[in-house]
Amino acid sequence: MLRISNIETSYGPIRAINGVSLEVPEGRIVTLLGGNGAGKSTILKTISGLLEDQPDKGTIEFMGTRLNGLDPEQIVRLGITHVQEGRTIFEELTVEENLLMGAYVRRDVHGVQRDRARVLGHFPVLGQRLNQRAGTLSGGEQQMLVIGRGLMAHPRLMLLDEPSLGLAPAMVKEIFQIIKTINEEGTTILLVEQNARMALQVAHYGYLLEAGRIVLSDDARALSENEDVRDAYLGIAVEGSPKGFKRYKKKKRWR
Amino acid sequence: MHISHPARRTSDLALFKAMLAQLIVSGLATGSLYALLALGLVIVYKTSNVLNFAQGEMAMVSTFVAFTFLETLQMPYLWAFLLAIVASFLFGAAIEVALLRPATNPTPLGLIIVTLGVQQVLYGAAGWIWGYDTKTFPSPLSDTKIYRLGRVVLSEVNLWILTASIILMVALLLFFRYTRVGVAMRAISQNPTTARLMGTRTPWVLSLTWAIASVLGAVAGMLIAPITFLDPNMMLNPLLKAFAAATLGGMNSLAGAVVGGGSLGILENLVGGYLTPELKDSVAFFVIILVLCLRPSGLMGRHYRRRV
Repeated sequence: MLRISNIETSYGPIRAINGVSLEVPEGRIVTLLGGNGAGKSTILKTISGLLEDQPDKGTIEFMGTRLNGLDPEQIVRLGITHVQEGRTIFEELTVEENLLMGAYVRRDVHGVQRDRARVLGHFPVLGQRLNQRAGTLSGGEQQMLVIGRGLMAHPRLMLLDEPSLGLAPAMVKEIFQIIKTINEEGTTILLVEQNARMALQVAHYGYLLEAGRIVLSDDARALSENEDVRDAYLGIAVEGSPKGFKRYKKKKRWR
Repeated sequence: MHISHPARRTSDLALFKAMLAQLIVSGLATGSLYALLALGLVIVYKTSNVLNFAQGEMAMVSTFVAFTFLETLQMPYLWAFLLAIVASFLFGAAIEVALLRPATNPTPLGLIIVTLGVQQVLYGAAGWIWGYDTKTFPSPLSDTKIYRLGRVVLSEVNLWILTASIILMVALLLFFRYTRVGVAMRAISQNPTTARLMGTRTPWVLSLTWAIASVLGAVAGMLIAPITFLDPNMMLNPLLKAFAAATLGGMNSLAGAVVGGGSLGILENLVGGYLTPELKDSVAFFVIILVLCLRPSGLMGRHYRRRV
């Protein structure tokens, strides 16, 4: 469905992505793992067209259409919705207005109504807050609103950037459960996460990104059993910082 | 007949009340013109982060266009009014497309300088085309015909100024609340990047805000012209008042612009009526200074964080 071949992306003189290729098959959840600054979000921004004149090299293809050089407002019309990192709601708009903004490109009133009902089904709490200003929501509710707003576009492919960032553990579980349901309802998902444990639980396939390069890719299950991944990503949460030094050495070995 | 003391006192009080009411109502009429111009400033500021110093001159040019329709082409007033609105709409959008959009990597300061340039060019062009001499703006509304509302007297012009301003403000409110594009405009002013990801065509929406601002100015100009007469300088004073009104209201709040315009008009009139007419025009500047010192975000402004 989405095929990225050998892209290079830079911010001015600084190259952030170094020849990354990856593929997202229709109907799947593919996850992109990696530490801070590995370039995960940059890849999503390159796909959705937010970085002007990027990628420098390589091609991005979505269902046979080349995305290189298209504007974000054109790309969203092809059926790709980018749900950004952080709670990028429109604070001064009501919850309802935020959701309607998500469906901005759509003309099918009935479809929008159906999706609105679907989103409120996933996130009942939003239904109780429809006329509230979005800025007054709690952090978790804002994250739900961001995802719900993304769904309102009825995307074929959803780019999800760090949906669990800064959420309480119980909320993280809930969000990932919903991501799984959304996928089962037919939306393909490219998921960027720092929380590798949760991401590998819901994803079918995973890529591991280090300093702008893909260093490892495999089925999600195989990845979660891979020793390096366990040590470097799944281990951190449990064992804390003493492993930090060792982790650094392991990273070196992959390059 | 014998007039008792208490009775005279009540009649004094009644007189005082009537004068106060009169000053407030006519102040409100002037204030609603400030509010229209201030609204134009605020919607442009909210969406493009630019203080539009050309707002007044854009309104002046639109008023001259209406004047041309009326005098040179001898159109009926209503037609001239409506056509001038259409022209000012296109004019506002054209200025954005032709002069502001091409700026690459614009800083707010750079764009403000652009608007100053636009202001100067429009001023010169208007003088060149229509001349600097003062003209009378033909209007079917009479300045001397008077309506009575209780004890308060309102000239026909002022009555229409109030009516038209209120209609326009309500229309604007409904537009921003209930239309797709209106909601998108508010979204863009809060987070342009995310709004683009929703599929809004941000550049066109920006042009639209300029077009609307231009229309607001045009209406204000056509309403004010019968009172102040018509010349290239006509909008200088009202625009400064509009800046004061917008600052008072909080620069990024539409409701603030309306409240700021109204209260500035009333305040001016009270100072003119009770203190001295000489100070009337200075009130606006006291207001700007006071607001900036005491409450920089204005009466109703909210400075929310802008995310990168």
